[in-house]
Amino acid sequence: MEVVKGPDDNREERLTRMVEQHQSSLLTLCYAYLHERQLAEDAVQETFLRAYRALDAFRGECEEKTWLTSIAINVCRSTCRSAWFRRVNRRITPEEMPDEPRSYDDQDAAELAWAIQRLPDKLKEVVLYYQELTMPEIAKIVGVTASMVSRRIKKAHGYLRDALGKEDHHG
Amino acid sequence: MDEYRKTAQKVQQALNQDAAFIQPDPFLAQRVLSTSSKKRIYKKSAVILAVVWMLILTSLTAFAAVLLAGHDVKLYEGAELVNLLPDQFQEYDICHRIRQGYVIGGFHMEDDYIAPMDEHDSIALLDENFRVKWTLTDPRLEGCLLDQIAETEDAVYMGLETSQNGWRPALIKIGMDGAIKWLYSGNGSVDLNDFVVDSHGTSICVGSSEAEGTQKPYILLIDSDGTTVEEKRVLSDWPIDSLAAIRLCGEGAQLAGYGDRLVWIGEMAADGRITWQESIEVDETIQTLRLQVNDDGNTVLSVVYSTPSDDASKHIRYYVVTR
Repeated sequence: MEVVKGPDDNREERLTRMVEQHQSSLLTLCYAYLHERQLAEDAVQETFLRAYRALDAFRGECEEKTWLTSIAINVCRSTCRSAWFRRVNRRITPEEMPDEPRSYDDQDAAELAWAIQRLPDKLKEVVLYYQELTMPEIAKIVGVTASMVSRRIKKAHGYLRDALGKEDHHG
Repeated sequence: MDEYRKTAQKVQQALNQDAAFIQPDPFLAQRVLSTSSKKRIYKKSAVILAVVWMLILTSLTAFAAVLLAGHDVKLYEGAELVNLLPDQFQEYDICHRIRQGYVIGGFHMEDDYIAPMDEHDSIALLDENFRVKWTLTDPRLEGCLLDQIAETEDAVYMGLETSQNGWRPALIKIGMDGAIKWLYSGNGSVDLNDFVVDSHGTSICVGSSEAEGTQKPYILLIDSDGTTVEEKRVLSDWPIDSLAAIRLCGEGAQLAGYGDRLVWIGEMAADGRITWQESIEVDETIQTLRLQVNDDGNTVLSVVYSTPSDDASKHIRYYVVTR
């Protein structure tokens, strides 16, 4: 007997495919933004929940990845604005970090990741997004002009120069 | 372009490695579906709200249609666009109309890549017929040109962020012959968002200053010779984090800024006193704002909100200030 799929089945299939395709990159993005495993996982779940609820409204004006990234950034911004998040002192050094013990294959890349953590939020946002996104796409996500994105990226590079320089030296 | 891609790759590798210890959740889709179905209980009231909104929007659309009916929009077939700029400037994307012509400069564009001012890039003034009057190339200009510009009888003022000695906000005064009269370079902890030049040639710059992790509104006065008259990280009792816009208004100025879910507008007398102010509480995150004046002489405050909604849209609201 042939099973006839209803609209909800299609939605569920789309969600499953989106989760398979984008969960990893969104985890990376949210972790880089929030730098706490539990918060990052919650943010990714909330992102897909919002996407699922807005699925019918998404008309494909932009790439699915751009759309999901926009939602994830909003979730991360909301998290950062929460009273609890702001009360916690996040000005700690890597040695003081209470996260689970980690081993890095590439110490220079670890230093670069740490340098990104210390960027001002506005600069951090644009650096985080260049996961195969074009500048106009980044601009759409962040909500500023492409020129502004370029300006912030160049500024961020200035901040990261030491860490990037070390990579160049070794690379 | 290559450098951008190379850096992007490095950043991405570093971030991937940093988050590699978090494994994707194989049951995430089911978890989302389960959470979503729990929330369906709230959907009934949402549907009622949606119907109300639809009614409101339908009325607004009808109203807009009536308004637009008075405007005649023509589409010309076979229209030809002529590029008037000399070849060497075609890739710049900042163009300001001033009394003397057009000031261009700022960024050059390649495919999807837009580069800020490099060491050898120029700012140029073109006349009414797009002929080059002067170009200005100076290593101190390396960095980014801001969108704002001001002009007096004898000079053009532009805001910058220069990168030569770490990122610093800057203001440059360029004479009508294309020579730099002075370049003010500020502190790296300051963001300059807007500026005006008054009738005495004093530049009034507004922005924010960061210290110990907190942002505070910031005002800077520079006289016509480029000397700093006053610089202050403004008053702790102001309800905002940043001043984003300024426009001259009589002998004083109107200022606008924002904080966490708060838009603020005020008037400052020539002696620096705040003579009037108004705050608007909002429930969205503010990206930026601008002050302009409409044909009636009223101030229009345009506020760009970032994307709080589920579908990641963003929007601008306009507030007309009438007194």
